[in-house]
Amino acid sequence: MSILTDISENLQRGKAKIVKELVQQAIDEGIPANQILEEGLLGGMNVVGEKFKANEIFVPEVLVAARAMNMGTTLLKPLLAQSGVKATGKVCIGTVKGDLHDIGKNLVRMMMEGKGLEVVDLGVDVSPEQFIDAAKNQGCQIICCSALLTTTMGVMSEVVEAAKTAGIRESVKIMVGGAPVTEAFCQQVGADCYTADAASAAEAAVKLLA
Amino acid sequence: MRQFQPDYTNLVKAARNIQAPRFPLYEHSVSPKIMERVLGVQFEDLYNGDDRDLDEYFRNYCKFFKQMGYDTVSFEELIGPAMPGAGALGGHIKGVIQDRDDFERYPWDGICDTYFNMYRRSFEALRRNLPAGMKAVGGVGYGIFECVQDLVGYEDLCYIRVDDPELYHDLFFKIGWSNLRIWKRFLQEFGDIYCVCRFGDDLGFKSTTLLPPEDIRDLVIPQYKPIIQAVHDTGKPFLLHSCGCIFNVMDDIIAAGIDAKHSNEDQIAPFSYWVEQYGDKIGNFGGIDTDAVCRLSEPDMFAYIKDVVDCALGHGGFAFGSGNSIPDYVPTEGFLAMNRSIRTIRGDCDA
Repeated sequence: MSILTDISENLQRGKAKIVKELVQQAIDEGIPANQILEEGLLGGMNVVGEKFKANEIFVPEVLVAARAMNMGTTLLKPLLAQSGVKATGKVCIGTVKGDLHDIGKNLVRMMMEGKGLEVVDLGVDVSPEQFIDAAKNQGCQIICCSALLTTTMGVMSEVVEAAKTAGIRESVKIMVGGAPVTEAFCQQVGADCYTADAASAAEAAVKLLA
Repeated sequence: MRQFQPDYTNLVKAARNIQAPRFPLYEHSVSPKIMERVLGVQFEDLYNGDDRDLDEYFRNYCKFFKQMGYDTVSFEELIGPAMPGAGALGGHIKGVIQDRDDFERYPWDGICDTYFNMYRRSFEALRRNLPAGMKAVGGVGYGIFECVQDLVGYEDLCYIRVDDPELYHDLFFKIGWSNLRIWKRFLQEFGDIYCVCRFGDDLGFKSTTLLPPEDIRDLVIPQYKPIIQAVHDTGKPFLLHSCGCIFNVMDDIIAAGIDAKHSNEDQIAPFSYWVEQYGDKIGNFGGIDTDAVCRLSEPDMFAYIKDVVDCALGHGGFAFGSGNSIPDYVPTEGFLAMNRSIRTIRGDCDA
């Protein structure tokens, strides 16, 4: 078994300490940081995403896998920066204003990081202005809005409108999701993409950036 | 509107999966702010006052349910605030238990006494103010999983699952032990005012359960069983409120002895699916997606509710109301339109 396969499999099992040790070992063996990231860490998270989408694994397994990935990427980040490797895209994510629920939002963030995207987490109770500021000032290509409450999902349409007013609607994709959100709602408010689960959201984000 | 006479036995029948002569209305909870708007009286703050204030609070609280055509008063007091340091479930604070030392130090033995010291007055005031023909539904709020989350936090609980499986296991069993103590004492001291007992334990989200189903089977449901048994020992049915997509553990939950289940979201499955799948085994409560209560016009809501009622008729016990609850963000007009629609369909008033 190659060390990269070993990293991927331990990541899938959420073995954070082992993943960190293996990533360090791979670095010491001279394997390029980008290869460790792509074939080891992101490869493992891809499997996790697929299994989650198929209901073969559950949120706890995703969370521990994401934690393991973060342990590994902490070691890789300085090396990736040195070699000029950049994230495949930048996303800002938040639970919309008036809503404090964050499990789903956190899950999407982890899945997107597992796809190699840089994610700016704006937290909960995020106003349309905060989404727009993040997109403009931090160079995010995608805004992701999450809502659990049926009455707060309306804020998503305000985010779309605020992006138009700020003159960035053409350059930013807007994704929406959460318990009460549907494809029909996404179209109604003029957002670009709705997905039903976190793994699909990460895949959709990658496609939107392609 | 015809004169309404409440009869709590309608809800008992529904919970026992028998179609009641007059199908009952049911809500898991209604925000006192909505009650105030409906009654035109401000009373929420009286909950924190002296005994006279508390009586006035419950007079209004019970009046709301009677006036709106309910046979029962939905009322529970939550375990969470009685657990020192709790609040990680909804309070966005770090859980008070993060490792074995925290667990061992935690004052488990005091939770039961604290619960009754905090809430005895309100249960007694409820007893004094229940209208004739009405009893309460509810009891001790927070289920097993919710209590564990309130002490640990969901994400940290997921990490503990891998980092310290023994602690993960012990958390559920300790909460089970503590909650059972509360329930047994509650049934002894206040069981007389309740006709259907219930706790809420949200096990799922939009696409599946929050924990792997085997964890729910091995750790959560075994803690439900003795509580349900204690409720049954007093001759009352048990109602579980649990949100989310929990179909992968529903058979296990039913096998644990629940009599009825509440909570449904159309995004996961319409009420008709619940009725078709489980109507021959348990009573089904709810039916009307809270999103519909918030957003539909009254004519559209009437048509929606008519479909819900039609799908349930002839399939055992049911009680209608929102699929989740009526928090204060639900428009009062939406709640009233739902209530009028259900009562028109069941014949309380003319269409």
